[in-house]
Amino acid sequence: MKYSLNWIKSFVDLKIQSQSELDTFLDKMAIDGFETEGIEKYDLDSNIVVARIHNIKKHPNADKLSVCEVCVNSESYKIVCGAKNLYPNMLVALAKIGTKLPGGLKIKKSKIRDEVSEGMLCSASELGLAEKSDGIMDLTYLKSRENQNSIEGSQFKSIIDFPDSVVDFNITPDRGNVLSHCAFAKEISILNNLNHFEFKSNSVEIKDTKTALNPKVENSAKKSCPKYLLRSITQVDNQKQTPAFIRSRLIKSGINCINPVVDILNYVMVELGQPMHAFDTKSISGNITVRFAQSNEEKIELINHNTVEIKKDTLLIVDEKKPVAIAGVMGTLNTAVNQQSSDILIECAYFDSKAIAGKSRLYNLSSDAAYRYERGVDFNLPEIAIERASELIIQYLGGNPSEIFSAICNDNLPKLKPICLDFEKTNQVLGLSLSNQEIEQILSRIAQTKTTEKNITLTPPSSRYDLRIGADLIEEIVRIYGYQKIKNNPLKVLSHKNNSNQFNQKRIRDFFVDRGYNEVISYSFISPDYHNLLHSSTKPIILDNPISVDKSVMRDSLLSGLIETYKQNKKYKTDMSQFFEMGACFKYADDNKFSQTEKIAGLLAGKRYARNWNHSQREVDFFDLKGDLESIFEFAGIKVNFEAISGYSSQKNSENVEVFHPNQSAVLKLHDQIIGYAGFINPEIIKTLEIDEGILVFEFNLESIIHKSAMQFKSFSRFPIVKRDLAFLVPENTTASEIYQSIHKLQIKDLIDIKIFDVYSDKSNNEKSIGIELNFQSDKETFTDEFIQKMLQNIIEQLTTDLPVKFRDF
Amino acid sequence: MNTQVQELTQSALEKINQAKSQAEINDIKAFYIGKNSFISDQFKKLTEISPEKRSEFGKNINEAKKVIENALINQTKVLQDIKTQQSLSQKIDVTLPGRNSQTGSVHILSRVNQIIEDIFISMGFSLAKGPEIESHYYNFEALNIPEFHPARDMHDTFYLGKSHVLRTHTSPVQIRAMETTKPPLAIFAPGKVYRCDSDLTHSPMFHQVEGLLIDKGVSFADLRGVLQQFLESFFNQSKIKLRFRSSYFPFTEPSAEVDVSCVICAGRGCRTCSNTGWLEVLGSGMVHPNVLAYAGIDSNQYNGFAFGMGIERLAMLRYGIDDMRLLFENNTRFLNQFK
Repeated sequence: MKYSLNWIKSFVDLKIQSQSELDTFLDKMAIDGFETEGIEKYDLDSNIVVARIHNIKKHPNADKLSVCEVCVNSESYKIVCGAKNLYPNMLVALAKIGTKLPGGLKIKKSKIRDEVSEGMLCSASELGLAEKSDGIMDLTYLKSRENQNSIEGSQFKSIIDFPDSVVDFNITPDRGNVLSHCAFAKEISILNNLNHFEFKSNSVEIKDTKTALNPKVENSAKKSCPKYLLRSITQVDNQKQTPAFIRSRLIKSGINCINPVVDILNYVMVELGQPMHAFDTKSISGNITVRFAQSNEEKIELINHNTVEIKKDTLLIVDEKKPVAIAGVMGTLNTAVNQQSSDILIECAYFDSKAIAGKSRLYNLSSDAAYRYERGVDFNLPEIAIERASELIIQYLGGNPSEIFSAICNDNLPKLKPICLDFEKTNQVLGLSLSNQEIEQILSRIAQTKTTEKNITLTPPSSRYDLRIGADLIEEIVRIYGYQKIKNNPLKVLSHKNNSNQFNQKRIRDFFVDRGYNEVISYSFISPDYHNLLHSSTKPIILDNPISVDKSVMRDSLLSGLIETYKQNKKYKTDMSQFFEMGACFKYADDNKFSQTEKIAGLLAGKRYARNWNHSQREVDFFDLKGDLESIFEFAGIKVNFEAISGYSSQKNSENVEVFHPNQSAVLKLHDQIIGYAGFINPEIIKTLEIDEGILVFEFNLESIIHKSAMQFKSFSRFPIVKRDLAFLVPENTTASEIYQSIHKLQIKDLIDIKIFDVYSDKSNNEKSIGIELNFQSDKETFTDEFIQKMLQNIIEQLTTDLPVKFRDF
Repeated sequence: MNTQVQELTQSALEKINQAKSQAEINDIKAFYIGKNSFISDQFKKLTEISPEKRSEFGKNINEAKKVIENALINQTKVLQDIKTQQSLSQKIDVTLPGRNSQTGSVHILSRVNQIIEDIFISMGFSLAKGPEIESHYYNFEALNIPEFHPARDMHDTFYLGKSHVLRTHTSPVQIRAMETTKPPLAIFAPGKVYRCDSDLTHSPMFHQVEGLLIDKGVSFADLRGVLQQFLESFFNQSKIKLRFRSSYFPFTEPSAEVDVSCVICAGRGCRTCSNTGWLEVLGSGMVHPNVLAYAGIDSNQYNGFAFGMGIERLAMLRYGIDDMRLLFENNTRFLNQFK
């Protein structure tokens, strides 16, 4: 909220003379919880003075202009003016020759249609006090409170409290109680131990005893509206101008001026913190009632010209025919006070913050009233505020006030409950050793306290509804005493559980980095296009309020981020791409709940090696990727099988399958569970993505590899390894896996490894030649030739039985 | 007989002298004095020879064998010398580039995360995690932010239907940790968080790390001590000054924002700290009794502190990165700077 320092100073004995004093004050306020969001300086040229119109004559050469004689005490000026609201003895703001106006205009002596003009009479907009002008600013109201002689000739800026500094303090949501100059001044007095001047309002003299109002609060609404005050004021002259000082203070507070009655209500709101509303009496039919909307009710047009449909459970102010306001938020347009209004009803209520909270968002409108009500308002304030508003209205606009008619339910008003605070606990929580007297001195700045040897009791005033429990008081104590006085306690030694058995993310990350991959972090939300391309079969998780369409769907795969990264970097003509990412992926589970899985994915494309002098370049292929994966799985201590993806296309749980090249990709399986996929992206998708080379990717669940079983030593054989090679021909479509499986059927314990060392395809015969190296080792003995020969014979027989192999001589 | 041995020896010596490799030498050795060689056969035949001739004959073959063996050893040495000389004369250009030296890079946010993790682990805090799609209950209610409370406006929340949001902070992990672990407990919880806000200094997705310690008799001074130690370790500077500013977080009371003396200019005032000498780095406070109650912890018996900070901000400060958007562009020219 924007606070005028001059206005604040009218309530508290705050002395700020220089910029450095202001800086010091603002620094202290920031430390005490009120950060500065901005400072505005207000000033006006001293050449603008209060002057009196002595006489007005028609301009001899122009119908729409007049020539005025304007007096500033004994001096007189001849001014040409086009305004229509001038009258003899009107007090005005005169910009003398040499004045520089806020808009930049400089006043010079001039001739307007042959008549000399020695200055300018100013409108509010010309003085920077309004957006648009409604005639020359009328300062005649000053006569009623000041001696006319002393006011004439005084600098206009002193009338409107200029020069002034306006500070925009960030008020946290718990401190709705300081959203007014008077209350914030009180806060400043507490924090800085300064004298505070209590605001006292005077009850206005009741001139209208005939009007009888009967506001009602329905039983069901009494909890939400325990206090509702209404006053009628008849014969208000709302055609007048809003007094300049009110206008200036509203401008400084960032509030637009509407018409005098509304401006005065807003003024009292920023002065005391109580939102108020006024109705045009003519537009109200019968009694006013406060009630909840029972069902979705009619549409109403609000003051801001928005038409809204009233929804169930909205607290409403209604007359006998229609809703006249959404309680605590905004009134309707056709019951609002305008310049023509003469009889008005002023509403001043205490609404429970829970009844107002969320309504601004529900109806998509914001108001200063709702902003305050949803943060809370002092329930003792309405009586004071309504008198203050009445006083100002009658003083500046005239009118006959009625008594205040009220509907109050004391049982539902907040109760002021004492808070008891233990001295010892206070010091323990803060790590301080304050004496009982120190604590008492601090807290008694807020309210009267009672102390015993062990504790202190304080009943917060109704304005301090932010104080409810002991912890709240402890915060007040440390805020006032100063956080900087708390010493650092050295950390107690904490015991820590050792998770070293986990194959942790750091190790996985380091592995891929060492293998040449760049780690990336991309947004968890992706475009619907990517989702449709990569997971067309799964239901997308769509954000209700995305930042943009291309970030509206929660990713179920890290691949989109990697592909996007690849495409972005490809613009810089890189010929090698290696990326990986680890992060959460999201989808709907079968029960329609959100399922979240940590995954890792990588991308490999372009050349395998940087161009080098002693080996030739080549494109990356599936086995580059597979080698990286085999290594990481070995580090993780798990055995993952790679199975051709072609057999999986129809499976329900493998929705990722379509992303991959059907003949150059694998499903990764751990203990018969699919944990991921690896291979080339389907060329159809590559085409859609407008990419011009093959891209290899992998993705698997991180969870499946982080639970590494504890490493344990096993004794190993020291007998020599015997190696024998076999070479044979098989049909082109025979897989390595089939060869392994056939040999493994024999369950030869001492066959410790099979290495495929050669694969040569003979396309013309649709055959390929395979070379395998068999490694034998026993943990008991050195093999005899006979034994090895027998094993080889068995293997050859088995292979011949299982597969159409043709052996070459060996 | 003798002539035969002599001739054999002679031919062996000739062959040995001409041998060009160790393999040749091994073959020669096998042929002349190996298991099935003529010489070995002669030894086997010794018993068939009359005793008077046996001794001289034996001497002759022994000598022949020794001569051949010595010649073999000699030639082996000669060959080794030649090989060594050859090796020594071979020259390479060590200034040519090596093979396959490419390396990847750790993302700077992961790196910072790791540094933070290492510090908290060394201080005895345990790693905790929570979901990124979070229920209203954990993200708001249990953290003392009731529905419609204006404090919810402090978070620009991404909504997913009526009951879930993308978590706006890592604080929900506090509740989850307290629900599953009996006090005393000390956890830290790093992770992604989301707010629908995007401009020069805001990213709709960013990272936070949360800290929570619950025990008996915990004080604000303990919180200060932990933060002091953490920040000094993180910025690798001793004597960092901390400044606590009173603030409001619904889940802590008292609450304070924490500034550190600017790590760039040591508090003298610079562009990074907008000439204030201070950098706002984290929020902290004593856990609100309502939050303890939500998590089922008796606030008469236990209390604690919590704190949270933005990892992007720490990363940018520590590595002098001036544009937050760089962190999520994944441009290799950025990524490769952090090896």
